[in-house]
Amino acid sequence: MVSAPEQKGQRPGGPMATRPLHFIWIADCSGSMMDGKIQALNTAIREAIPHMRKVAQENPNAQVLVRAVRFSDGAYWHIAQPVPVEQFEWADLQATGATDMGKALKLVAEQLKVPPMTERALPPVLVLISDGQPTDDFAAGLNALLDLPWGKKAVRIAIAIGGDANLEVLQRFINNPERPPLQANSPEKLVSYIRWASTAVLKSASSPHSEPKGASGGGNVPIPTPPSTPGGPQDVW
Amino acid sequence: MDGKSATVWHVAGARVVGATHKRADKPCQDAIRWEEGESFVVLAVADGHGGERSPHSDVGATLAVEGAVQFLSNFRTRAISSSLSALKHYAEDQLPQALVQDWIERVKEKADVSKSETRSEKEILLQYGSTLLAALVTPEFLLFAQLGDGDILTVMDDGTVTRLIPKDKRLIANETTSLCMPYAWREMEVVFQPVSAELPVLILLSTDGYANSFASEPDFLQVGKDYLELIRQQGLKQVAAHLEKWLTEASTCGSGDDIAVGLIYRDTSESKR
Repeated sequence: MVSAPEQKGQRPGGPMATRPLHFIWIADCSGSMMDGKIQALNTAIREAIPHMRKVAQENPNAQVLVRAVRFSDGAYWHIAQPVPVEQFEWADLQATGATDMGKALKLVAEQLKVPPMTERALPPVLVLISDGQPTDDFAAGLNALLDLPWGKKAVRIAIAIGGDANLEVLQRFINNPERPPLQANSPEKLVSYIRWASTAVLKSASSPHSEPKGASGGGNVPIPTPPSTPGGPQDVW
Repeated sequence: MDGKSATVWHVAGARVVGATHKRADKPCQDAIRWEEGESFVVLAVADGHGGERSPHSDVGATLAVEGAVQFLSNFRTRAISSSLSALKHYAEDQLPQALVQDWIERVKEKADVSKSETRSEKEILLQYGSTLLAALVTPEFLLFAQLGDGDILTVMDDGTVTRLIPKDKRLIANETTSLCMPYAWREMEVVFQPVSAELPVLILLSTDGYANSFASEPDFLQVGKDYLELIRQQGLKQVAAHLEKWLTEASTCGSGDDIAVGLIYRDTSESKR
């Protein structure tokens, strides 16, 4: 009679798997994004995808899974199922309506509970992009997110598009005074920050090294330095 | 006590460089040590944190396992004339602080703190930060200690696998309690078990890179029963000879992290002479 370990080539234990790393875009699709911003965002994310794939290939022990939330009048999963980055394709967002950012954070929070998250996952990366003021109960959404262990541990990046973005709420989302929101006042800067979040930050989050509990105030993934993009005449937003 | 004194425990173990560290040409930051004494065995594994803030954590992990094995071996020697209740009291009340302090002293000596003008002790300890899991098995008692992530499994004769120290639910996203934390001993879990009627037949200590390589918790716990089955079929030496290969496969197909695994097996077919 052949025993269980012998049947599977002797290696002890059950099936193995790489560690999931959930990457979630949280995109403002309010009416104020209509004047070229939404198209710039669509372009920036689309251009970042090949670079995300390259980072993922360089660390095959992290299974990068991407999805997206859009918020305007309410919040919805734009890409609901976690898609392996190798198969991820960006579908264009359209802009219209209000800025229900709080509802978007609640939507994300639902997915960061255990389950569906697993304890063995790598820290998720949440990238919030907005050009305006929340029109709903932002605090309720933020609290729902930060009340969860995975919400607290998530790498939270915020990108402000244009001068009308509410930097204070984006800072509260980041929840770390040492890391201000990134200010993108032109399509070029938006591309640069989106690229940084989807490559340098992704790479840092996919490392398996440990951090002593409480040793870092703002999360246990070291955040790389964002690209330097000084303001100037090219600012259009 | 005749049945107990006839019990012989043997140890085997291995550590491997994780797939991620191989790609980055970094050293293994996990460590393992053991000692088989006349009437006891002691085993320790440790996981150095890695990362930019803990550049010497491979050394810190090595100091942790060396210190724990030496300390627990001495503890065993001193324990021979003590009552079980006194040992239990010491293990639960004083051992954590003693083990942590032993590690701190070793790190300070290694880092030559007296010559450091720019770094605080806290910064130096962080540079060497590590977890620690240890087991001491004697004819009279079993003692387990754990500070930080990782797993201690016991396997009974019928293959039942138990995680001896429950997972710390606070520790997700690669965050761990550590020897380098202020008041680290408060975070150390200690289990003291007087030898009773039923002993585990196999004890497994592993760093978190091992459990993180399996698709689920049951898939990981399956290793306990599988190792026992393999040891009974092939013997501990044969299993030990395959260990590096299996752990390398686990890291490559799973977490990518360094892995250290130690096995303590109770061989009832032998008896001490």
